Amino acid sequence: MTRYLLRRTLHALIALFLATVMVFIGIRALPGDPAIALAGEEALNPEMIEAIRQRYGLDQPPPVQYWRWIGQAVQGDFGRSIRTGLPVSALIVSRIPITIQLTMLSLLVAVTIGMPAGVISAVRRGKPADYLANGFGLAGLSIPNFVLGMALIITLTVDRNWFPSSGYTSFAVDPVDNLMRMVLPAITLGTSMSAIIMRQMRSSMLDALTADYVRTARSKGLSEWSVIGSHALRNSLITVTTVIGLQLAGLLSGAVITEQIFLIPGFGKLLLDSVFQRDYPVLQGVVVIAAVAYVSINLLVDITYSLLNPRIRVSGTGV
Amino acid sequence: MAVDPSARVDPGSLEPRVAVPGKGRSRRAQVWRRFRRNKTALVGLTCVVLFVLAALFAPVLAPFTYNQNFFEAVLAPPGGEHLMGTDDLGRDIYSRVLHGARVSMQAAVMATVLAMVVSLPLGLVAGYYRGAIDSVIMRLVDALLAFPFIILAIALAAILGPSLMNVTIALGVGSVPSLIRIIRGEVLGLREEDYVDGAIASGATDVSVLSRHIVPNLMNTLLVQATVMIPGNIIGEATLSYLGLGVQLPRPSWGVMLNAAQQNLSSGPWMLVFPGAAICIATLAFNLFGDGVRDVLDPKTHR
Repeated sequence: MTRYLLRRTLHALIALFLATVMVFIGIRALPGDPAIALAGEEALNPEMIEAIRQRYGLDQPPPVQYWRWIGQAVQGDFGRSIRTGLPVSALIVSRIPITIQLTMLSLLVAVTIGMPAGVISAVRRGKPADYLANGFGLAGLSIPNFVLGMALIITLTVDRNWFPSSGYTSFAVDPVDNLMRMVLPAITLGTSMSAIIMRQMRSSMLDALTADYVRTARSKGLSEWSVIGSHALRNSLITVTTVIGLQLAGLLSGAVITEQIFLIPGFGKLLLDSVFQRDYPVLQGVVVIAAVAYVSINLLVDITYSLLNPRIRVSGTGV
Repeated sequence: MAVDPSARVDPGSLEPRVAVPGKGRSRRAQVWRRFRRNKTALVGLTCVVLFVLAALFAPVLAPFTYNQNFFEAVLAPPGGEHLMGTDDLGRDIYSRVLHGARVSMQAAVMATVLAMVVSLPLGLVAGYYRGAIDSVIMRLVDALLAFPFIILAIALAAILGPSLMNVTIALGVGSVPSLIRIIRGEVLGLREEDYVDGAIASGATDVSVLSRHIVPNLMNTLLVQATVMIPGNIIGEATLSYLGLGVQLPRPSWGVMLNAAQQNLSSGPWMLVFPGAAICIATLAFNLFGDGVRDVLDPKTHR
C-alpha cells in the first residue's frame, strides 16, 4: 500500500517536472523574442534589450534558464505581467477563489441533477423515466457549454431579464448579486458534468442491481427501497465518486470557456487574456499552476480510490 | 463541456474485454444485424451520413458562397431568400452552416486520425515491450496528461498560431496521451493471451505477432475510441474557433459563427440558433452512433 502511494506520488512529481519542461520549451517556441516582449513596446533600442536579456538571464543557455525559472517558481515567484507589471503569483491568487466558487456551484448543480437522475433511470430501466434521463444525458454531452451558455443568456437575460447577463461581483461586496450572477454560469458548467454523472450512476447501479448481494438482500425480504438505498447505491457510489473526482479536475477546463462567455474574471479568463495579450509570464504561470492543480486532484482521487477499493491496493497497479 | 480528456474516455472502455476472434464477413453481417436493431443508433448513423454529405457537397448544396455580402439584407430574419437569415455582415447563414460542416468534419476526422496514427505505435511498443521503454513513454504521457485537455489545446493553438491545420494538430495531440494509455492497457492484456504466447513460442517475429494477433484485436477498442473522440473534436474545434484560436476569417466555422452571434444576441438570435443547433445535432448524432457501436462491440456496457 505504502509502496503504491509512494510510486504514484513519485510518478506525479516526474509528470509535473516534465510538464514544466514542456511549458518552458513551449513558451520559448512562441514567435517573437522574449526580451523584446519583456521590454514592451516603448523600449526598442538595442542596449535596453541587451540589458533586459542580462537581467532576466536570457543570455544564459536554456537549461540554466530553466533551473533559474523553476527555482523561483517553487518559491512562488512567476515573474511579472508584461501588461500590468503586477506579480503573476498575485494575479493568480486573486483569481483562484472566483474559479473555485464557480466550480463548486457547478459541482452542486451536477450532483443534484446527475445522481438522482442516474438512480431513477437504473431502477426504472426501460420505463419513460429512463428514456427521459437518457435523453437528458445525451443532450448534456452533446451541447457544448458555450452554446448552452449563450442560449441561457438569450432566453433568460436578453429576453426576460431574470438574471444579470454577465460580469462579476465579489461575494464580500454583495452576496446576493454575486450568487445571482453565478447561477447561469454554474448551470452552464454543471450540465455536461451532470450528464456524465448520470450515465455513470446509471451504469454502476445497473451492475449493482444484478449483483449477488442485492439478490441476497431481496431474498431476505428487505423492502425495495432499502435494497436500493443501502445496498446497491452504496456500492455504486465508489465508482461514481471517482468519476466525480476526475470530473472535478475537468471542470477546470470547462471553467475557461464559461468564464469567457459570462466575463467572470477567474483563473480561466486570466489564461485566455494572457494568450490574447501575448502576456507570456502570465501564460507560463497559469499553465504551470493549472498542471499542478490538475495533477494534485487526480493524485488525490487515485489515492482515495485505492483506499476505497482493495483490489487496486493489492495488485499495486492503477491504470 | 465534453472536451475534457476524462470525459472523452468512456469508463466502460477501460474495462478489460474478451477478444472476439474475427470470423470475416459473417461476423461483420452479425455486427450489422445487432446494430440495426438499435433504433436510436440508426437515427444517429443517418444524421452522421447527412452531415458527411453536407460537408462533402457544401459548395453544390449552398445557394450562395460563404462570404458573399448582401448589404441590403443585413441581419435579415430567417425565411424568404435566406432560409436561415443573414448575419451582421449580410452573409447567408444557411450557406455558412453548410460550409461550416465541412470545416467541422475535416478538423474532427483529421484530428482523430492524427491521434490514432501517433498513439498506436507508441501504445503498442509500451504495452508489448514493457520495461524501460514503457516507463519512458508512460512518464511522457503522464506529463501531457498534467494539462487539462482544453488548456493543452489552447496552449498548442496559441503556440502554433490560429489556422484550421493547427487546430487539428492541437486537438489531435491533445488526445494522444489518453489514447496511448488505453491502447497500452489493452496490449498489456492481449500479451497475456495464450495465442500470443503460442505465436511467440513458434518463433514468430515481434512485427508479425503485433500485426497478426495484437492489432486486429485492438480494432474494436480503436473504433469505440474513435466514436468517442469525433464528437469531442467537433466540440473542440468549435470551442477553439469560438475563442478566436481556430479557423480564421473568412472561412466559416460553427465556432466562428457563434462568436459573431454573441455580439448580436438581441438583434439577431438566429445567428446563434442555427450554427448552435448544427453543433448540437452533429455531436448528438455521433454520440448516438457511438453508443450503438459500443453496444455492439462491447457487450460489457449497459446503455
